[in-house]
Amino acid sequence: MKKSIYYITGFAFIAIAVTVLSIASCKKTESVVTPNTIANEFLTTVVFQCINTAAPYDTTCGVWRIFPGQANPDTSEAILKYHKSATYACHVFVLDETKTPAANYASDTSFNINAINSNTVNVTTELIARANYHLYCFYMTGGTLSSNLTVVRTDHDTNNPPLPCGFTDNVTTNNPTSGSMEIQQQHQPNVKTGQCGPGSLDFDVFFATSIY
Amino acid sequence: MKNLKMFILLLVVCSATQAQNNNFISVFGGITSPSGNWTKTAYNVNDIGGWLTTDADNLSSGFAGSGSTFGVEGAWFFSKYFGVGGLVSHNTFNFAGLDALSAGYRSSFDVDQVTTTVNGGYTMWNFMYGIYFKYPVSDKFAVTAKALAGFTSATTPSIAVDVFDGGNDDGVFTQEPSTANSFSYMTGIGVSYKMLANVSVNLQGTYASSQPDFLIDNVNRPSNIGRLITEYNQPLTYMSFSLGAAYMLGKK
Repeated sequence: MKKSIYYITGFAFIAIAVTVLSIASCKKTESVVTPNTIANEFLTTVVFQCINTAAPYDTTCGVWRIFPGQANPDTSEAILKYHKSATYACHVFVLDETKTPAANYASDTSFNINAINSNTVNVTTELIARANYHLYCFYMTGGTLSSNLTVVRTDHDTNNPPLPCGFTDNVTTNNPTSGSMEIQQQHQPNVKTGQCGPGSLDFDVFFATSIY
Repeated sequence: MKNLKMFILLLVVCSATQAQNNNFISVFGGITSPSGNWTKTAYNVNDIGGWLTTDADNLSSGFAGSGSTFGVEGAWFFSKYFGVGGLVSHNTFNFAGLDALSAGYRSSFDVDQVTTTVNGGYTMWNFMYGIYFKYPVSDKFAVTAKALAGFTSATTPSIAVDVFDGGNDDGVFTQEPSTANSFSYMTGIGVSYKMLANVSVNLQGTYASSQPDFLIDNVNRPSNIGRLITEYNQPLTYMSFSLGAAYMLGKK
Protein backbone atom coordinates (compact mmCIF):
# COMPACT_ATOMS: atom_id res chain seq x y z
CA MET A 1 0.00 0.00 0.00
CA LYS A 2 2.78 2.34 1.02
CA LYS A 3 4.71 1.46 -2.12
CA SER A 4 1.75 2.26 -4.35
CA ILE A 5 1.41 5.69 -2.74
CA TYR A 6 5.05 6.36 -3.57
CA TYR A 7 4.44 5.29 -7.16
CA ILE A 8 1.33 7.48 -7.46
CA THR A 9 3.20 10.39 -5.97
CA GLY A 10 6.11 9.93 -8.33
CA PHE A 11 3.81 9.69 -11.29
CA ALA A 12 1.98 12.84 -10.23
CA PHE A 13 5.28 14.69 -9.96
CA ILE A 14 6.36 13.66 -13.42
CA ALA A 15 2.96 14.42 -14.93
CA ILE A 16 2.90 17.92 -13.51
CA ALA A 17 6.50 18.50 -14.52
CA VAL A 18 6.00 17.41 -18.11
CA THR A 19 2.71 19.26 -18.55
CA VAL A 20 3.94 22.54 -17.13
CA LEU A 21 7.29 22.31 -18.89
CA SER A 22 5.53 21.78 -22.19
CA ILE A 23 3.38 24.85 -21.67
CA ALA A 24 6.22 26.96 -20.34
CA SER A 25 8.72 26.13 -23.01
CA CYS A 26 6.31 26.62 -25.89
CA LYS A 27 7.64 29.53 -27.96
CA LYS A 28 4.77 31.21 -29.69
CA THR A 29 5.47 32.99 -32.95
CA GLU A 30 3.12 35.87 -33.52
CA SER A 31 2.79 37.90 -36.68
CA VAL A 32 0.77 40.96 -37.59
CA VAL A 33 0.31 42.70 -40.94
CA THR A 34 -0.15 46.46 -40.77
CA PRO A 35 -1.29 48.17 -43.97
CA ASN A 36 -1.28 51.92 -44.49
CA THR A 37 -4.71 53.33 -43.74
CA ILE A 38 -3.66 56.98 -43.82
CA ALA A 39 -3.97 58.93 -47.04
CA ASN A 40 -0.68 60.56 -47.99
CA GLU A 41 -0.52 64.15 -49.19
CA PHE A 42 -0.44 64.76 -52.92
CA LEU A 43 2.82 65.59 -54.65
CA THR A 44 1.53 67.77 -57.48
CA THR A 45 4.45 70.03 -58.26
CA VAL A 46 8.20 69.65 -58.52
CA VAL A 47 10.35 72.75 -58.74
CA PHE A 48 14.06 72.64 -59.59
CA GLN A 49 15.58 76.03 -58.92
CA CYS A 50 19.22 76.86 -59.59
CA ILE A 51 21.45 79.90 -58.98
CA ASN A 52 24.81 80.40 -60.64
CA THR A 53 27.34 80.37 -57.81
CA ALA A 54 29.57 82.86 -59.61
CA ALA A 55 26.78 85.13 -60.86
CA PRO A 56 23.72 85.10 -58.62
CA TYR A 57 21.65 87.04 -61.17
CA ASP A 58 21.92 83.97 -63.44
CA THR A 59 19.13 81.69 -62.36
CA THR A 60 16.99 79.01 -63.90
CA CYS A 61 13.86 77.44 -62.53
CA GLY A 62 11.77 74.61 -63.88
CA VAL A 63 8.26 73.72 -62.71
CA TRP A 64 6.71 70.33 -63.43
CA ARG A 65 3.10 69.86 -62.40
CA ILE A 66 0.34 67.25 -62.47
CA PHE A 67 -2.90 67.08 -60.54
CA PRO A 68 -4.81 63.99 -59.44
CA GLY A 69 -6.94 62.70 -62.26
CA GLN A 70 -4.90 64.41 -64.97
CA ALA A 71 -3.69 62.14 -67.72
CA ASN A 72 -0.63 64.20 -68.63
CA PRO A 73 1.55 66.61 -66.69
CA ASP A 74 1.85 70.30 -67.41
CA THR A 75 5.40 70.63 -68.68
CA SER A 76 5.07 74.10 -70.14
CA GLU A 77 7.38 75.45 -67.44
CA ALA A 78 9.49 72.32 -66.97
CA ILE A 79 12.42 73.95 -68.70
CA LEU A 80 15.97 74.51 -67.45
CA LYS A 81 18.54 76.73 -69.16
CA TYR A 82 22.12 76.80 -68.00
CA HIS A 83 25.14 78.77 -69.10
CA LYS A 84 28.09 76.71 -70.29
CA SER A 85 31.07 76.16 -68.04
CA ALA A 86 29.23 77.22 -64.92
CA THR A 87 28.30 75.85 -61.55
CA TYR A 88 24.83 76.26 -60.09
CA ALA A 89 23.55 75.71 -56.57
CA CYS A 90 20.17 74.05 -56.91
CA HIS A 91 17.22 73.07 -54.75
CA VAL A 92 14.46 70.57 -55.30
CA PHE A 93 11.11 71.71 -53.92
CA VAL A 94 8.02 69.51 -53.79
CA LEU A 95 4.61 71.11 -53.40
CA ASP A 96 1.01 70.09 -52.97
CA GLU A 97 -1.02 72.62 -54.94
CA THR A 98 -4.34 70.78 -54.89
CA LYS A 99 -5.86 73.55 -52.76
CA THR A 100 -3.96 76.42 -54.35
CA PRO A 101 -5.87 78.92 -56.54
CA ALA A 102 -4.72 78.60 -60.14
CA ALA A 103 -3.52 82.19 -60.16
CA ASN A 104 -1.12 81.36 -57.34
CA TYR A 105 0.54 78.27 -58.73
CA ALA A 106 4.33 78.15 -58.54
CA SER A 107 5.81 79.96 -61.51
CA ASP A 108 9.15 79.48 -63.20
CA THR A 109 9.68 83.24 -63.44
CA SER A 110 8.98 84.26 -59.86
CA PHE A 111 9.28 81.22 -57.65
CA ASN A 112 10.22 81.92 -54.04
CA ILE A 113 9.75 79.07 -51.57
CA ASN A 114 9.39 81.60 -48.77
CA ALA A 115 6.54 83.36 -50.49
CA ILE A 116 4.33 80.52 -51.70
CA ASN A 117 0.57 80.82 -51.46
CA SER A 118 -0.88 80.03 -48.05
CA ASN A 119 -2.92 77.19 -49.56
CA THR A 120 0.15 75.57 -51.05
CA VAL A 121 1.72 72.85 -48.92
CA ASN A 122 5.51 72.78 -49.00
CA VAL A 123 5.92 69.02 -48.78
CA THR A 124 9.70 69.46 -48.96
CA THR A 125 9.82 70.17 -45.23
CA GLU A 126 8.28 66.80 -44.46
CA LEU A 127 10.45 65.06 -47.01
CA ILE A 128 13.60 66.53 -45.46
CA ALA A 129 12.41 65.24 -42.09
CA ARG A 130 12.14 61.84 -43.77
CA ALA A 131 15.49 62.23 -45.53
CA ASN A 132 16.82 58.98 -44.10
CA TYR A 133 14.79 57.04 -46.61
CA HIS A 134 14.59 59.41 -49.54
CA LEU A 135 17.07 59.89 -52.35
CA TYR A 136 16.97 62.05 -55.47
CA CYS A 137 18.42 60.57 -58.61
CA PHE A 138 19.26 62.55 -61.74
CA TYR A 139 19.57 61.14 -65.23
CA MET A 140 20.52 63.04 -68.42
CA THR A 141 19.32 61.93 -71.83
CA GLY A 142 19.46 63.45 -75.32
CA GLY A 143 22.26 65.14 -77.17
CA THR A 144 25.47 65.07 -75.21
CA LEU A 145 23.84 66.25 -72.01
CA SER A 146 25.06 63.32 -69.97
CA SER A 147 28.69 64.23 -70.66
CA ASN A 148 28.21 67.99 -70.31
CA LEU A 149 26.09 68.31 -67.20
CA THR A 150 26.72 66.71 -63.85
CA VAL A 151 24.65 66.85 -60.69
CA VAL A 152 26.27 66.32 -57.32
CA ARG A 153 24.12 66.04 -54.22
CA THR A 154 25.42 68.30 -51.46
CA ASP A 155 23.25 67.35 -48.49
CA HIS A 156 23.29 64.28 -46.28
CA ASP A 157 20.85 62.51 -44.00
CA THR A 158 21.35 61.34 -40.41
CA ASN A 159 21.96 57.71 -41.20
CA ASN A 160 25.17 56.19 -39.91
CA PRO A 161 27.21 56.74 -42.02
CA PRO A 162 25.39 59.75 -43.49
CA LEU A 163 24.07 59.16 -46.98
CA PRO A 164 23.37 61.74 -49.71
CA CYS A 165 19.83 63.02 -50.25
CA GLY A 166 19.67 65.49 -53.13
CA PHE A 167 17.38 68.22 -51.80
CA THR A 168 20.32 70.53 -52.51
CA ASP A 169 22.66 69.93 -55.42
CA ASN A 170 25.45 71.41 -57.45
CA VAL A 171 24.96 71.39 -61.20
CA THR A 172 28.10 71.81 -63.28
CA THR A 173 27.98 72.45 -67.00
CA ASN A 174 30.53 72.13 -69.77
CA ASN A 175 29.71 72.61 -73.47
CA PRO A 176 26.48 73.72 -75.12
CA THR A 177 23.96 70.96 -75.79
CA SER A 178 20.39 70.09 -75.01
CA GLY A 179 18.41 67.13 -73.81
CA SER A 180 16.30 66.09 -70.87
CA MET A 181 16.98 65.94 -67.14
CA GLU A 182 15.03 63.24 -65.35
CA ILE A 183 14.58 63.67 -61.60
CA GLN A 184 13.37 60.76 -59.53
CA GLN A 185 12.46 60.86 -55.89
CA GLN A 186 13.19 57.38 -54.63
CA HIS A 187 11.50 56.12 -51.48
CA GLN A 188 13.96 53.69 -49.92
CA PRO A 189 12.66 52.43 -46.59
CA ASN A 190 15.24 50.11 -45.08
CA VAL A 191 17.10 49.85 -48.38
CA LYS A 192 18.82 53.23 -48.66
CA THR A 193 22.50 52.80 -49.36
CA GLY A 194 23.16 56.03 -51.25
CA GLN A 195 22.68 54.25 -54.56
CA CYS A 196 19.80 54.76 -56.96
CA GLY A 197 17.70 51.72 -57.63
CA PRO A 198 16.27 50.02 -54.56
CA GLY A 199 12.90 51.07 -53.20
CA SER A 200 10.06 52.67 -55.08
CA LEU A 201 9.48 55.95 -56.90
CA ASP A 202 7.52 58.78 -55.32
CA PHE A 203 7.76 60.67 -58.59
CA ASP A 204 9.66 60.61 -61.87
CA VAL A 205 9.69 63.92 -63.71
CA PHE A 206 11.42 65.36 -66.79
CA PHE A 207 12.77 68.83 -67.52
CA ALA A 208 13.76 69.99 -70.98
CA THR A 209 17.34 71.10 -70.38
CA SER A 210 19.73 73.12 -72.44
CA ILE A 211 23.24 74.49 -72.03
CA TYR A 212 24.03 77.58 -74.07
CA MET B 1 13.65 47.36 14.54
CA LYS B 2 15.85 45.99 17.30
CA ASN B 3 12.80 44.35 18.93
CA LEU B 4 11.85 42.78 15.63
CA LYS B 5 15.32 41.31 15.20
CA MET B 6 15.21 39.95 18.74
CA PHE B 7 11.80 38.42 18.10
CA ILE B 8 12.96 36.72 14.91
CA LEU B 9 16.08 35.41 16.64
CA LEU B 10 14.02 34.09 19.52
CA LEU B 11 11.62 32.43 17.12
CA VAL B 12 14.46 30.73 15.30
CA VAL B 13 16.18 29.54 18.47
CA CYS B 14 12.98 28.27 20.07
CA SER B 15 11.77 26.56 16.98
CA ALA B 16 15.10 24.85 16.51
CA THR B 17 14.26 22.66 19.46
CA GLN B 18 11.08 21.40 17.76
CA ALA B 19 10.72 18.44 15.46
CA GLN B 20 11.99 18.90 11.91
CA ASN B 21 9.63 17.38 9.38
CA ASN B 22 9.12 20.18 6.86
CA ASN B 23 11.96 19.34 4.49
CA PHE B 24 10.59 19.13 0.99
CA ILE B 25 11.24 19.02 -2.67
CA SER B 26 8.56 20.23 -5.05
CA VAL B 27 7.68 21.01 -8.60
CA PHE B 28 5.48 23.94 -9.41
CA GLY B 29 3.92 25.67 -12.36
CA GLY B 30 1.76 28.69 -12.87
CA ILE B 31 1.37 32.09 -14.43
CA THR B 32 3.55 35.17 -14.44
CA SER B 33 2.41 38.76 -14.52
CA PRO B 34 5.09 41.37 -15.24
CA SER B 35 5.01 44.91 -13.89
CA GLY B 36 6.91 48.13 -14.36
CA ASN B 37 8.53 49.71 -17.39
CA TRP B 38 9.11 46.51 -19.30
CA THR B 39 5.33 46.09 -19.67
CA LYS B 40 5.04 49.43 -21.44
CA THR B 41 4.14 49.24 -25.12
CA ALA B 42 4.85 52.81 -26.18
CA TYR B 43 5.72 53.77 -29.73
CA ASN B 44 5.52 57.53 -29.52
CA VAL B 45 6.08 59.41 -32.77
CA ASN B 46 6.41 62.98 -33.96
CA ASP B 47 4.00 64.58 -36.40
CA ILE B 48 5.54 62.79 -39.38
CA GLY B 49 5.57 59.38 -37.73
CA GLY B 50 9.22 59.40 -36.70
CA TRP B 51 10.06 57.42 -33.57
CA LEU B 52 11.08 59.81 -30.78
CA THR B 53 14.60 58.74 -29.95
CA THR B 54 14.77 60.47 -26.55
CA ASP B 55 11.24 59.79 -25.35
CA ALA B 56 11.44 58.07 -21.96
CA ASP B 57 8.48 55.78 -22.61
CA ASN B 58 9.91 54.74 -25.98
CA LEU B 59 13.25 53.85 -24.46
CA SER B 60 11.86 52.00 -21.44
CA SER B 61 9.08 50.07 -23.16
CA GLY B 62 9.74 46.36 -23.05
CA PHE B 63 6.49 44.97 -24.52
CA ALA B 64 6.35 42.22 -21.87
CA GLY B 65 3.07 40.43 -21.22
CA SER B 66 1.88 37.69 -18.93
CA GLY B 67 3.31 34.22 -19.26
CA SER B 68 4.05 31.06 -17.38
CA THR B 69 6.44 29.69 -14.82
CA PHE B 70 7.75 26.25 -14.07
CA GLY B 71 10.32 25.15 -11.56
CA VAL B 72 11.62 22.90 -8.87
CA GLU B 73 12.48 23.94 -5.36
CA GLY B 74 13.44 22.38 -2.11
CA ALA B 75 14.36 23.30 1.43
CA TRP B 76 15.89 21.80 4.50
CA PHE B 77 14.35 22.98 7.74
CA PHE B 78 16.86 23.49 10.51
CA SER B 79 14.03 24.36 12.87
CA LYS B 80 10.33 23.81 13.12
CA TYR B 81 9.53 26.94 11.14
CA PHE B 82 12.66 27.98 9.29
CA GLY B 83 14.72 26.36 6.62
CA VAL B 84 17.20 27.06 3.90
CA GLY B 85 16.70 26.06 0.32
CA GLY B 86 16.59 27.13 -3.24
CA LEU B 87 14.82 26.96 -6.53
CA VAL B 88 15.42 26.72 -10.21
CA SER B 89 12.64 28.12 -12.34
CA HIS B 90 11.97 28.90 -15.96
CA ASN B 91 9.65 31.76 -16.81
CA THR B 92 8.17 33.00 -20.03
CA PHE B 93 6.58 36.35 -20.77
CA ASN B 94 4.53 36.76 -23.90
CA PHE B 95 5.01 39.73 -26.21
CA ALA B 96 2.43 42.48 -25.60
CA GLY B 97 1.52 45.36 -27.89
CA LEU B 98 2.52 43.79 -31.20
CA ASP B 99 -0.16 45.77 -33.05
CA ALA B 100 1.12 49.06 -31.64
CA LEU B 101 4.70 48.19 -32.49
CA SER B 102 3.84 47.19 -36.05
CA ALA B 103 1.72 50.31 -36.61
CA GLY B 104 4.60 52.39 -35.30
CA TYR B 105 7.10 50.85 -37.69
CA ARG B 106 4.74 51.36 -40.61
CA SER B 107 4.27 54.96 -39.67
CA SER B 108 8.00 55.62 -39.20
CA PHE B 109 8.95 54.04 -42.50
CA ASP B 110 5.98 55.67 -44.26
CA VAL B 111 5.34 52.57 -46.35
CA ASP B 112 2.38 50.71 -47.72
CA GLN B 113 2.66 47.79 -45.31
CA VAL B 114 4.85 46.12 -42.74
CA THR B 115 4.61 42.60 -41.37
CA THR B 116 5.97 42.33 -37.86
CA THR B 117 6.78 38.92 -36.45
CA VAL B 118 7.78 38.14 -32.90
CA ASN B 119 9.34 34.81 -32.12
CA GLY B 120 8.16 34.11 -28.60
CA GLY B 121 8.56 36.57 -25.78
CA TYR B 122 10.99 36.97 -22.93
CA THR B 123 12.37 33.84 -21.34
CA MET B 124 14.04 33.72 -17.97
CA TRP B 125 15.93 31.20 -15.85
CA ASN B 126 16.21 31.80 -12.12
CA PHE B 127 18.69 30.17 -9.76
CA MET B 128 18.03 31.34 -6.21
CA TYR B 129 18.52 30.29 -2.65
CA GLY B 130 17.51 31.70 0.71
CA ILE B 131 15.25 31.33 3.72
CA TYR B 132 12.04 29.35 3.83
CA PHE B 133 9.36 29.63 6.48
CA LYS B 134 6.48 27.31 7.21
CA TYR B 135 3.90 27.74 9.95
CA PRO B 136 1.25 25.03 10.45
CA VAL B 137 -2.22 26.44 10.94
CA SER B 138 -3.86 23.05 11.39
CA ASP B 139 -2.98 19.39 10.81
CA LYS B 140 -3.50 19.86 7.09
CA PHE B 141 -2.87 23.53 6.37
CA ALA B 142 0.27 25.58 6.71
CA VAL B 143 1.27 29.10 5.75
CA THR B 144 4.55 29.39 3.88
CA ALA B 145 6.89 32.21 3.02
CA LYS B 146 10.30 32.61 1.46
CA ALA B 147 12.92 35.22 0.72
CA LEU B 148 15.46 34.25 -1.92
CA ALA B 149 18.26 35.85 -3.85
CA GLY B 150 20.45 34.65 -6.65
CA PHE B 151 21.04 34.81 -10.33
CA THR B 152 18.75 35.34 -13.31
CA SER B 153 19.50 34.79 -16.97
CA ALA B 154 16.96 36.39 -19.30
CA THR B 155 16.54 36.55 -23.07
CA THR B 156 14.67 39.17 -25.06
CA PRO B 157 12.37 38.26 -27.93
CA SER B 158 13.40 38.56 -31.56
CA ILE B 159 11.42 41.02 -33.67
CA ALA B 160 11.43 40.81 -37.46
CA VAL B 161 9.86 43.49 -39.63
CA ASP B 162 9.26 42.96 -43.33
CA VAL B 163 8.81 46.24 -45.21
CA PHE B 164 6.64 46.51 -48.33
CA ASP B 165 6.30 49.65 -50.40
CA GLY B 166 5.32 50.50 -53.94
CA GLY B 167 4.89 46.84 -54.77
CA ASN B 168 8.40 46.02 -53.58
CA ASP B 169 9.50 43.90 -50.65
CA ASP B 170 12.20 46.12 -49.16
CA GLY B 171 13.56 43.37 -46.97
CA VAL B 172 13.38 42.24 -43.40
CA PHE B 173 15.20 43.90 -40.53
CA THR B 174 15.55 42.14 -37.22
CA GLN B 175 16.03 43.03 -33.60
CA GLU B 176 18.00 40.00 -32.49
CA PRO B 177 17.34 38.21 -29.20
CA SER B 178 19.79 39.11 -26.46
CA THR B 179 20.69 37.21 -23.30
CA ALA B 180 21.96 38.88 -20.15
CA ASN B 181 22.46 37.89 -16.53
CA SER B 182 21.95 39.74 -13.28
CA PHE B 183 21.48 39.47 -9.56
CA SER B 184 17.87 38.79 -8.63
CA TYR B 185 15.67 38.41 -5.62
CA MET B 186 12.31 36.89 -4.88
CA THR B 187 9.85 36.97 -2.02
CA GLY B 188 6.79 34.81 -1.72
CA ILE B 189 3.95 33.66 0.47
CA GLY B 190 1.64 30.72 0.14
CA VAL B 191 -0.48 28.07 1.68
CA SER B 192 0.22 24.39 1.83
CA TYR B 193 -2.28 21.56 2.12
CA LYS B 194 -1.14 18.12 3.20
CA MET B 195 -2.87 15.50 1.01
CA LEU B 196 -0.95 12.46 2.14
CA ALA B 197 1.55 11.83 4.88
CA ASN B 198 4.41 12.87 2.63
CA VAL B 199 2.68 14.80 -0.12
CA SER B 200 1.26 18.29 -0.06
CA VAL B 201 0.08 20.79 -2.58
CA ASN B 202 1.21 24.40 -2.42
CA LEU B 203 -0.41 27.53 -3.71
CA GLN B 204 1.96 30.45 -3.70
CA GLY B 205 2.39 33.96 -4.94
CA THR B 206 5.81 35.49 -5.45
CA TYR B 207 7.30 38.80 -6.40
CA ALA B 208 10.68 38.86 -8.11
CA SER B 209 12.99 41.39 -9.63
CA SER B 210 16.19 41.46 -11.67
CA GLN B 211 17.84 43.94 -13.99
CA PRO B 212 19.91 42.39 -16.77
CA ASP B 213 21.64 44.82 -19.10
CA PHE B 214 20.74 43.62 -22.58
CA LEU B 215 22.96 44.63 -25.48
CA ILE B 216 20.90 44.19 -28.60
CA ASP B 217 22.04 43.63 -32.16
CA ASN B 218 19.94 44.90 -35.03
CA VAL B 219 20.41 43.23 -38.38
CA ASN B 220 19.79 44.81 -41.80
CA ARG B 221 19.13 48.32 -40.53
CA PRO B 222 20.91 50.48 -43.12
CA SER B 223 18.61 53.41 -42.43
CA ASN B 224 18.20 55.15 -39.13
CA ILE B 225 14.41 55.09 -39.10
CA GLY B 226 11.89 53.86 -36.60
CA ARG B 227 12.30 52.16 -33.24
CA LEU B 228 15.90 51.14 -32.76
CA ILE B 229 16.94 49.73 -29.39
CA THR B 230 20.57 48.78 -28.89
CA GLU B 231 20.56 48.48 -25.10
CA TYR B 232 17.80 47.68 -22.65
CA ASN B 233 18.44 48.00 -18.96
CA GLN B 234 15.18 48.13 -17.03
CA PRO B 235 14.02 46.24 -13.94
CA LEU B 236 12.30 43.00 -14.90
CA THR B 237 9.76 42.74 -12.11
CA TYR B 238 6.90 40.33 -11.99
CA MET B 239 4.51 38.39 -9.80
CA SER B 240 3.87 34.74 -10.24
CA PHE B 241 1.06 32.56 -8.99
CA SER B 242 1.79 28.88 -8.96
CA LEU B 243 0.50 25.53 -7.87
CA GLY B 244 2.98 22.94 -6.78
CA ALA B 245 3.23 19.41 -5.48
CA ALA B 246 5.70 18.82 -2.68
CA TYR B 247 7.22 15.62 -1.43
CA MET B 248 8.04 15.83 2.28
CA LEU B 249 11.46 14.41 3.05
CA GLY B 250 11.51 14.76 6.80
CA LYS B 251 10.82 12.10 9.40
CA LYS B 252 7.19 11.68 10.25
